[in-house]
Amino acid sequence: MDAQKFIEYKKIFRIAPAGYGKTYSIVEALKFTQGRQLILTHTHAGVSSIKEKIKKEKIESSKYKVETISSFAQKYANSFYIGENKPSEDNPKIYHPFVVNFSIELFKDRLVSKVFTSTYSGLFVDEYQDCTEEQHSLIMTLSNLVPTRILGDPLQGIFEEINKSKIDFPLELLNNDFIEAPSLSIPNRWLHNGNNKDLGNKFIKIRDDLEKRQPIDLDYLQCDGVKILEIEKDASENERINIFREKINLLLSNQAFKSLLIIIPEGENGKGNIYARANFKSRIDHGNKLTLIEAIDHESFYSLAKSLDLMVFENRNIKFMKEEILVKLFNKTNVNEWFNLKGVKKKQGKDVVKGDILNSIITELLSDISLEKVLDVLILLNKKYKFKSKRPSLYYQVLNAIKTAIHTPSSVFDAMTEQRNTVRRMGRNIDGQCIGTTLLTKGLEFDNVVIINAHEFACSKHLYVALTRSCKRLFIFSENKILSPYKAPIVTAIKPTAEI
Amino acid sequence: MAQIVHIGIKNFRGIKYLETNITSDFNCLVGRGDSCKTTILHAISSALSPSWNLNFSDLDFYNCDITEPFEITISLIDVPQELLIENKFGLYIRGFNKITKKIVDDLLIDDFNGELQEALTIKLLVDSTLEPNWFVTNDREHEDKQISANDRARFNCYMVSDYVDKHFSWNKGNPLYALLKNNSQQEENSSKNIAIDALRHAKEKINEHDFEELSFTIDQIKSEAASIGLDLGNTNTTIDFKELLSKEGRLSLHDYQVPFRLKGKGSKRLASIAIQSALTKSGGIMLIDEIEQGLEPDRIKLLSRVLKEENHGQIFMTTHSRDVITELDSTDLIIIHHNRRTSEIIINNFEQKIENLQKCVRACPEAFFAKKVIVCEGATEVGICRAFDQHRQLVEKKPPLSFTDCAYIDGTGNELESRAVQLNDANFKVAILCDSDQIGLNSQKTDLANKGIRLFDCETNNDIETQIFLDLPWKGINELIEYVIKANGWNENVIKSKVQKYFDSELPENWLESDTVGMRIALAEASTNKETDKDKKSKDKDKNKKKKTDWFKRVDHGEFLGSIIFKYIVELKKQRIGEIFNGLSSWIDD
Repeated sequence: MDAQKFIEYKKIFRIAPAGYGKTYSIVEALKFTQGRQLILTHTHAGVSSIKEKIKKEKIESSKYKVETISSFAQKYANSFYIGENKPSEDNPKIYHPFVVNFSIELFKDRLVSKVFTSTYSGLFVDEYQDCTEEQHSLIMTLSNLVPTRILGDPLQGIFEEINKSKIDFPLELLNNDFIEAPSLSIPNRWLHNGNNKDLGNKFIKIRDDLEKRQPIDLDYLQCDGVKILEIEKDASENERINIFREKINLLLSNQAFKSLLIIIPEGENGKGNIYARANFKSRIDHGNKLTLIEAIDHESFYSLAKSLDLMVFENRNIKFMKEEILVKLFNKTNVNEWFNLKGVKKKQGKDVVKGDILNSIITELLSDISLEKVLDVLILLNKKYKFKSKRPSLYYQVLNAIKTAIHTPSSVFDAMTEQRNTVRRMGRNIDGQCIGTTLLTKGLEFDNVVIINAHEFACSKHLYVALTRSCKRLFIFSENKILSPYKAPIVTAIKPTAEI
Repeated sequence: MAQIVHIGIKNFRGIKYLETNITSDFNCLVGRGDSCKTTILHAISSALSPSWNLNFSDLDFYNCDITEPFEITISLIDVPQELLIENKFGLYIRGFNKITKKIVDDLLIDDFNGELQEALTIKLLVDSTLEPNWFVTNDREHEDKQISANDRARFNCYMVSDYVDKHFSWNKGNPLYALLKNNSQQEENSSKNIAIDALRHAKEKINEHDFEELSFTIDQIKSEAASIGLDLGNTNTTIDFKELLSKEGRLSLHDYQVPFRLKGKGSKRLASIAIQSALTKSGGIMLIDEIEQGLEPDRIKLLSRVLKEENHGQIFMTTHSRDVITELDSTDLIIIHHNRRTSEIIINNFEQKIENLQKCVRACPEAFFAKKVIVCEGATEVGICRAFDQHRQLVEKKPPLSFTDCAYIDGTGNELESRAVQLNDANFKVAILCDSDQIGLNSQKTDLANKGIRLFDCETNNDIETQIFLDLPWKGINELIEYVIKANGWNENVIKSKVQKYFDSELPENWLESDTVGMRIALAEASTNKETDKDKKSKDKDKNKKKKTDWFKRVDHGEFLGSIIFKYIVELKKQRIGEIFNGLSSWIDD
């Protein structure tokens, strides 16, 4: 079924494996659609990638609008909500479902529907497998207003949450009068110039095995560009890190690897979460070449901003400053080197003078605190006292939020919220050499992918997503060559309903 | 097309605060001078202005107090579809409840019965920096969104005022241009910018001209320049294209060779109105200040009628002309009262057609320009009021009634009461000047008083003539008789026979000197041609004929009657007639 035929249906969906050109088929369809199309997906990475593909095809910007479902819903909910009961944005678990549910009500309203239909003449939804129940019913509501085309792949449905019933895709669509378009049959991603054709073909069997819940033999993937690196089961933590560092640093300085993604599986007890990843990165990447991908709505952005507000407006003490701000923002060792719970440590030897200066600055700060002074101190700690941040983007976002809070003026929290919203609206580019998770990189593609500890994937879907991010070369570190990722669904470290 | 449903003004010029619904597509603002009618038009035109900038000064702030910003909000329905899309102002729509005429913001709750229609509210905000800022606003939590001049131009709102010259040019932002754009939307093949193309053509023509007369001077410069090393070999003379384009009104309407801007005031205004009515035919908002300016009464009437009948957009106009008002319905009127003491502005628009008020609009348009209205029972009383006004000016040295914003109108007898009530309901201060011989009215007196309507009437069962003939000194009565004889071309015998009819016995020879109550009553009855028992028997009596033979039932006769009253007003002080007019006088001056 070609693109032109595809858009003739009022309610249609298509399932296709990763890399077969689902997103591309949206771009193709845009060449035939009339009026402005709304294209919804789940992640900001997805938004950027769709936009990029559309731009390549030189399609007029008036013909489309790409957004995440959440920011789309949020835009309407924020514009039309009246009342006191809207949950705060720093509580994404409650906030996002609320926003989506409220917008469902909105799109049942005559006037709001009219705004929607006079703006958009069609709807595309990508990555449908990631829809929550609320998002699904929002899309169903919209599908009654304009022709709706849905794309997805159940095997890439990684936004799971054990407490919440996920929608049964594609059954729920069939129940809602959607018809299924034939799947796509060509692994386009790997057929492009210079990409690894063999790898693409190997993924066909891997997918098949995963769907049938068969064990996966990593050796089957062996071909040009694929390396399986076994890790000794009894290797110590340091030994493992040494191996990773050695191999990865070789790649980082190689021109052929300027598009590189390192994927770390997430697991229980904070395994692979942002702190673990930041820590991992600081240990293997001494040259600081890797970009640490952050979730847009990670609570640490908001909690730090809140702590800063408390510090300034409620005059908190040095203990609060150390524990709730400095340690969260900078490396713990840096902070502990200069601070204890009572203030600046007494330094000896060459640091005596620096210690005294810092002490007087902190004393002055605490005696008459202001956002301006806090900003100066943070910059001073970073520049003069060499406090490093494992999460550079958190550090810069905090500095920017403080600056905005000073100029507006507003609270740091409000400034941060606004700032994160801007990122959400604009979408962001993730490319170059990055470190992230399956959740953060779903929908993206990289020439080279390194998977750390592949044996730790508890879920077939995450493994599938991780593998299929690579176009050319794939490096897999694993304790076992035979993987059986069919354990109970993992508790994802990041709230599935949150904005990623 | 866009229609204004609500106007809110804060701190703008003479208006401290004003808020009103607009329920009609044809609105005529009436009220005494300085009641801020024109300010309201300016407020609308500023808020919906297609100009990218407007110049304001400190004088535009209420009391010239720039510490408080001024704010104009205009809510519109039926706004152009293209403004309602999401990335324009779709997320800013409000609900206009077609039944309650209220603007609401919670669409989910308030649209329960589907009576909402989408509306946008435009806000113009100017603070002490004098920079105008235009927004689309609502009362929900999100921030206002700026609206560009281009988007404001889609409302097609233009004002006809004293300065209309630019309305005849094809420049962007003028109604002619908007009309052109409107038309070209319908016809796809029309050229993009005819005006600029024509100017280009003009420039080409000028380029062709060789300006031979100038060549000698140019050559001189050329050689001079060459001597200091500058090559000006290609220098020639033509017109700067930028000049052609940038000047306002370079391409404009002409009557043969005469530009419209040189035409007379009236014609200019009519032409400007014509351009804009063409616009309002496809929907647009036309603002006309003092529509009667520069026009003859017949043209005023024609214009008002045509505007009202052919209007497909929305029109706001102000007028001081009764010729305008007589052409309109009560629903077309917005009456504005400005209370100078409290600086409160009271607005009255009549959402429902009120039949009686309707007649009042036609019959007594002047009432609608006043704050106080004396509703007179008939022509006699109207005449007396005229004399009263004269007397106040000449003897009491008071300003004319019109200066004190007081009008007197003819209540034509049976409509008297309802007319007074309607006017009272429309926020006018109302007094009634009447006989006391109408039983119906007597029973309503308390009701009227309770509504705040002042009643000035005669002693029980007396009509005004009787009251006058009873109260006047006899000299005055003689003067009246003399006037009646003269006015009717009678001789003394004719009048004597008329009085005889109502006098029980034979009139004495010197009846003109015989000041008795009986004689006074007979005269009064003769003056109103009162039905005698004999008359009641003959049924073929024609009522109209009776009217005509009444001595004073005409404004001019009433005026004479009045002049006699006021001649003897000092002597009448203790009499009912004196009480009536002294009372009325203090009511007027209050």
